[in-house]
Amino acid sequence: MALNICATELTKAITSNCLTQPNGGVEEKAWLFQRRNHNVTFKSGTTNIIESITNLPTKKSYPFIMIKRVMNAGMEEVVAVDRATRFKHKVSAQQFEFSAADNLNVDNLEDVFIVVERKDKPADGDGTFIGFGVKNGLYKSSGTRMTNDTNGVRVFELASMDEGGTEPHSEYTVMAVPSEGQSVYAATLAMLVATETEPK
Amino acid sequence: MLETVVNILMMDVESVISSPKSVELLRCYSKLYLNGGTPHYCAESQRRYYEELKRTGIERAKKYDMVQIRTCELKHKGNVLIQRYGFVYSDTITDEIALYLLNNKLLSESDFTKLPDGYNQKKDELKQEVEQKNEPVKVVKEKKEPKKAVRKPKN
Repeated sequence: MALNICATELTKAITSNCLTQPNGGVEEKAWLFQRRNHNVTFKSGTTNIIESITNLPTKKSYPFIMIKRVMNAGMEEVVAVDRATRFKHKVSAQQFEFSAADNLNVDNLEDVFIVVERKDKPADGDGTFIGFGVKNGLYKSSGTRMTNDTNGVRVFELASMDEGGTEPHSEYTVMAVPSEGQSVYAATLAMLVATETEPK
Repeated sequence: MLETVVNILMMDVESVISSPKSVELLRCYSKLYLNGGTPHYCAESQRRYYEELKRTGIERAKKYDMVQIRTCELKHKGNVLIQRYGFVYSDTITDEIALYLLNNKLLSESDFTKLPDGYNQKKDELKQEVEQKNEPVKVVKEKKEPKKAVRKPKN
């Protein structure tokens, strides 16, 4: 039986200076996907670049529209001496609406993945759209709403499940394959918007 | 692919590594075992790949060659993660798998540039069955006999 080599290697230099310093924050629209209802295509030979997200019949994604810094997304490394390093993806957000249907909708927010758009956009579109929880899904890890606090809005956090529900990559870069004359940004945005409607 | 694997295995491992055949070995291993992913280039890895080819390469190559005669073609190239099925690689998906995914609605027709053989046939059969079932039943109306004029009895 051949040994399965898990050792990873550095492949390029790391530059963290004034030239590469990014700006934080995400744009005011993100996309929520019920994990089991969407197929994801990874770029050939890679496991962290998503080229396409498609809907199963009669299913669609749901946009999350927000203002300013209502949403925060990122990850936490899970390091152990006897396990490979994994990543706990985390997304925190606020629910402003409070009708019965809106509450039920967020109550049922489980096993989803999310794609957000970075405010900082590189010219080649690499890293603009990023996905969290794509393989194992995000589940609510905390939630609170008090009528006298923060305008009475509901604050909740979605995260990868502990004990094996974490992700193999810190984040997934979503980059659709552009058609001729189209930019990666435009192609990816169009692909994400297209998931908002059910396939014919 | 089978021919390539046999050609590699005809040489011993060290000769393969030290010759241009090593590129073939890596290409072959990438296609058969890594779904087109990048293999490690070091000699140690190449030895490992050779050993793997020796063990299961012929079998895999035969399967790979079988896949080449498939009729379906996925729209998106690469590894497709079907959340309720697993990974499917666009270069190695078989008609059988494609039919299973289509019939179980895990992929839709729009996910393919070319549908697998037998899918439309099945669909047509189903359509015919449904049509047969829904065919309107012809009701044979009985011809009404013209009413005979009956005289009203005189009181």
